[in-house]
Amino acid sequence: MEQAMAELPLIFFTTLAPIGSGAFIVFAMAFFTMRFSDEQMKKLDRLTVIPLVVLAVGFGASFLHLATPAHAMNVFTNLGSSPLSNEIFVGVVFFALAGIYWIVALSGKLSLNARKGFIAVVAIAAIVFSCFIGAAYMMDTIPSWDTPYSILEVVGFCLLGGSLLGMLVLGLAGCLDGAQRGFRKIVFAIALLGTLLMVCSLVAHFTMVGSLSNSLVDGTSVTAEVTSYLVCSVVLAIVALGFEGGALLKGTSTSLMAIGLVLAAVAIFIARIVFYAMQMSVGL
Amino acid sequence: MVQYAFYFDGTRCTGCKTCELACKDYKDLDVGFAYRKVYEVTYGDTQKDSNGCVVSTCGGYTVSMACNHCYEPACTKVCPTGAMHKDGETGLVSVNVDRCVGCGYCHMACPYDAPKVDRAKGHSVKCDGCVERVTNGEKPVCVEACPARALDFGTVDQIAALGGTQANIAPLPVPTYTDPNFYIKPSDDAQPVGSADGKAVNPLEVL
Repeated sequence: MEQAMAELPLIFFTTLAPIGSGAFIVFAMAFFTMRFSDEQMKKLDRLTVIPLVVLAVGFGASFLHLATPAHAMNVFTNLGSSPLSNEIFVGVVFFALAGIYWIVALSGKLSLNARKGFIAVVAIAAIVFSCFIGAAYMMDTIPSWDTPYSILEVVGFCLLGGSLLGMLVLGLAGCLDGAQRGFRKIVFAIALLGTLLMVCSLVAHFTMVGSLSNSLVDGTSVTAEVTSYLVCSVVLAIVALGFEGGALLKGTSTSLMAIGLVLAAVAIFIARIVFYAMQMSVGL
Repeated sequence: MVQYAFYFDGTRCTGCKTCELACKDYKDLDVGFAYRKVYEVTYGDTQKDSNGCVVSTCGGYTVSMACNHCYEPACTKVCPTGAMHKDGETGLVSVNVDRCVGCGYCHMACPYDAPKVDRAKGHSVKCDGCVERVTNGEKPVCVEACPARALDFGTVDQIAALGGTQANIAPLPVPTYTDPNFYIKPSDDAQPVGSADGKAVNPLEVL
């Protein structure tokens, strides 16, 4: 647990980055399934700064993890071979894409078709980014992380947390008035998939780590320490999904969406504590 | 290219930790940092059998280890900046402090727990094989300090010829992960890699 708490900046980064980037998936779904007035669109474009700020805070937190942030430009040196270089590169590309989308959208020069194309690219990039965040932890000398669960968990955070943040922003922009059932169903499906990915991967990951052992510790004692955290995370994620479902039934409830988002963020944060606490080397 | 290697004679080591302290002194390391560490393994128990005789299965041994300057270092593989690098001339693995960002990936990846981030210094720190001494024809400080002459250092051919085998006793991992340049002559009590009896029992000291 001490080990996990030492990674607090990374816990913040891996919580906020998937949530912030995932919001763009819901924006993409909204543009593909609904029509907005110019006024709604303008408001939404202005409020698109919210997921960007969430992302920026996440990136900022990741800088706090570095002993010498001034050398940060060197991190691309081993692009291709270092999973960390790859993660940061994909993250920067995502941030640039989302930022450019926001600026062009704000300038009012984006036709509906161009907007659809652009947001689809940003939405796909969000999933790719989440995959690379998870993959950064996959090294053969850390068998407790060297599993696809590391990736699937983060994709789950992106879909659940992102769908709540995206819906909250859409709601605040007044874009959910009379939102079609089809759109609401899609968003709920995304959130449900996210919750399933997150919960199932976490539980399977937890079980897998319990079966490991190295020359310092047995996996069972590692998992015993995080069991209560795992239960909290799973329960909060399911409750967050419930709030999102409730909000989607009503169609426009931003307050339910906001509560759901906070619960999901806390669930993801705790899931990251569990993840970092489950680091077990093949050796020492 | 020369490849240097460390040697550890488990039949000579008394577990006195002079090697560790000599290194800390020479490298002026603060509390919480040690480039060479001595891992202690103890196992078994002592019981009275049905005849009232005391029987013991107890055993114990120590392993003194620093960076193994591996052929396939896990630390250099994951390093995003290239700061953690293997020298082309000596095969010694060290940190280019002007490049290191201090992300700690090397620390996570190394199965021998060799590198560690020193936030006060702003970069990763680890055993560099006392490269300046080696260049002058001397051996690393830990080797010269050992009162039992349980440590040695030389080219991998010289070290392999001493009769040990490539690091393959507990609490170390199997050598296939990184191909370490570390040869060990095991003591009689030494346990094989992965043995349930081969746990390091002094984690608070070595981690």
